[in-house]
Amino acid sequence: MSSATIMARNYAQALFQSVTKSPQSSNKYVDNLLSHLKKTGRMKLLPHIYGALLVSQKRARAREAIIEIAREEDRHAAVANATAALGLKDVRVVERPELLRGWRIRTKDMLVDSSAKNNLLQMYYHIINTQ
Amino acid sequence: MESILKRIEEEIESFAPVSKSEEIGTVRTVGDGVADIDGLHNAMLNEVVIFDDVYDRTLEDALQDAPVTYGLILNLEEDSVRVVILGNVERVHEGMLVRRGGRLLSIPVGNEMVGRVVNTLGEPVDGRGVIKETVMKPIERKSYGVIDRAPVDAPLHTGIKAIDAMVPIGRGQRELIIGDRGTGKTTIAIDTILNQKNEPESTRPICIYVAIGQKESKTAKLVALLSQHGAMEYTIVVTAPASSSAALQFLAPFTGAVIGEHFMDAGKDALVIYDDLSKQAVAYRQMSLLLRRPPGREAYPGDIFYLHSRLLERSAKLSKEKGGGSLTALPIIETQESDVSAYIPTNVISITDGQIFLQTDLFNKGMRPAIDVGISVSRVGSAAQTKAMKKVSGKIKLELAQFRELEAFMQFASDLDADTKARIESGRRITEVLKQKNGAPIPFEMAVAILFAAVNGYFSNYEYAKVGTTQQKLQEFLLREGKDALEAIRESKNLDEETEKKLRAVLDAFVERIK
Repeated sequence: MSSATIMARNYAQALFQSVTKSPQSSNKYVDNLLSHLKKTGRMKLLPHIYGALLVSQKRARAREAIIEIAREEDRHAAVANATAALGLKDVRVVERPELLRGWRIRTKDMLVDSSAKNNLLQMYYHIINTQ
Repeated sequence: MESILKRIEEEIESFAPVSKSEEIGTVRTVGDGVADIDGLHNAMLNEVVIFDDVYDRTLEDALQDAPVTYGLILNLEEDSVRVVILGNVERVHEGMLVRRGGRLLSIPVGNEMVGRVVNTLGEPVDGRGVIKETVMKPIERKSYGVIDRAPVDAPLHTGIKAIDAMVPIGRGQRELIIGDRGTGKTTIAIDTILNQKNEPESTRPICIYVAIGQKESKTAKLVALLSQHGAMEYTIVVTAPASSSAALQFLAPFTGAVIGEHFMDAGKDALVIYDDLSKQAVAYRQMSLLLRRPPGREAYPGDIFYLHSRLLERSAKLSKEKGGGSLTALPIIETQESDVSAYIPTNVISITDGQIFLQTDLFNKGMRPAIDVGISVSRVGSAAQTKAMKKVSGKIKLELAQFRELEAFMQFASDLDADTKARIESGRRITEVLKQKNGAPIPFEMAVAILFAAVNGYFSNYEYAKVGTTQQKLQEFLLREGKDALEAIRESKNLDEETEKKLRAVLDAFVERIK
């Protein structure tokens, strides 16, 4: 990896983290970055920074909170739990029949799994480990 | 099968979904056996993680493919953790869910492991089924403190005359075996294991052989050899072959240590052989470089000394209050061109309680085992010898030391006085007596008898080139007609006046009959 790529990635990461923490100041951060790049003669890094930001955005989207339900009847319980346990609101809900019954909620670093699939798997692991 | 079906049926009928919340991470990058994981902010160093490859799959798929892939957290960084994958690396992919295991890396240990061949994670690889009745013990453990230890005072007989006489090993000691490739390091270790068959069952140590980075064919041959001699009855083999990942090779010695400690804590004696720690150091270097830890001398990480010191410090002789068990370690280090001043050899030499140097020159000259007794040492010394062995070995050391000094004169001096010639002849004979075939360890009472014969001139009537065959005949003779004397030495572990008289009578008879 070239030093330019590493530098661009560092700029992109810093910008992304700052904007994530304080979205209201995002324009200010972008202006500051651009003026810094102009001052230091690094404007040619801008396309690389853009590419790195797209990757960060894609990664963040993949880690956004999501509620997965086995069937429509489980939606209400899932959403209620998401709000009560994790304080989540307006979260995307997706149907996954492979869960069999129940639901699971996934955020960036937490997973609450109340699906029949998980329960059956845990039961299976418990049985084969105690045989 | 019936019980399993019934159990599952009961579980389904009483099914009520249970919510389980847990901390997770996501694989950001994976390569060379190391995965970079986003998240897991509360994870601990050396914590086990589980790569969940059933998250996006149907239950049917997940059940068909049961084995779980584990990882070990070795780097905690600002917004990610670096994990070394302990399993099939191909199962781990970018974006995969990772769960915290909530525990340090542990392996199952138990008495039923004896006679089995296992891998670094304690899983059997000998095709003889699951090992039952085990308890999970963490792979890393703090070694016993000074107060909990006792002095090393019981011998561990290797069955190799040169070692038992001049570089004696005690139970609870760490004795390094060091030499170039092909000098007989593994042979010494294996002969030590085989010789434990000669020990009474009550005091026989459990032997653990850790094969690190070796060819699987070599390990298989070794297991076959041990089985052939009945040594697998008291041996456990831990294997991390060359084809396994660097992480498994680096952890394998710790697995051996955990298994040994299990028996030590139960008041028994155990012997663990690490073959070899040079390969463990190389594996650890590889892993550390991939984890982007700063390289030091010879590109080894800065804590390479700590890797070996914390492993070897776990060997101990415990006090009576702690059960009196012991864990003896025989680490093996391979040198390059006999350079014992290299980085890793000097590190391990400074940690251990002595070393056995094997020289290529001696090996090529036919001196096998190729032990350089001049520079081999046991820091425990005669504290780990029986009284019988002490009596005969003291003279041997002196004679050999004098012989080595005079050896140089042999090359050019034609006019030597009678005393010098006698010393040279005696030294040659003792050198011949100390030669021993591989795979043929001898019980300590036999070794005492042979060495007694050597230092008391019973071989002086035979040409030194024939001392080897004469020794063989003496062994057979002693087994036939010297049983009383051998029994007396074995029982009393001493060579008192009466036993010496018996032995001399047998030896006189031998010299009379075998000319």
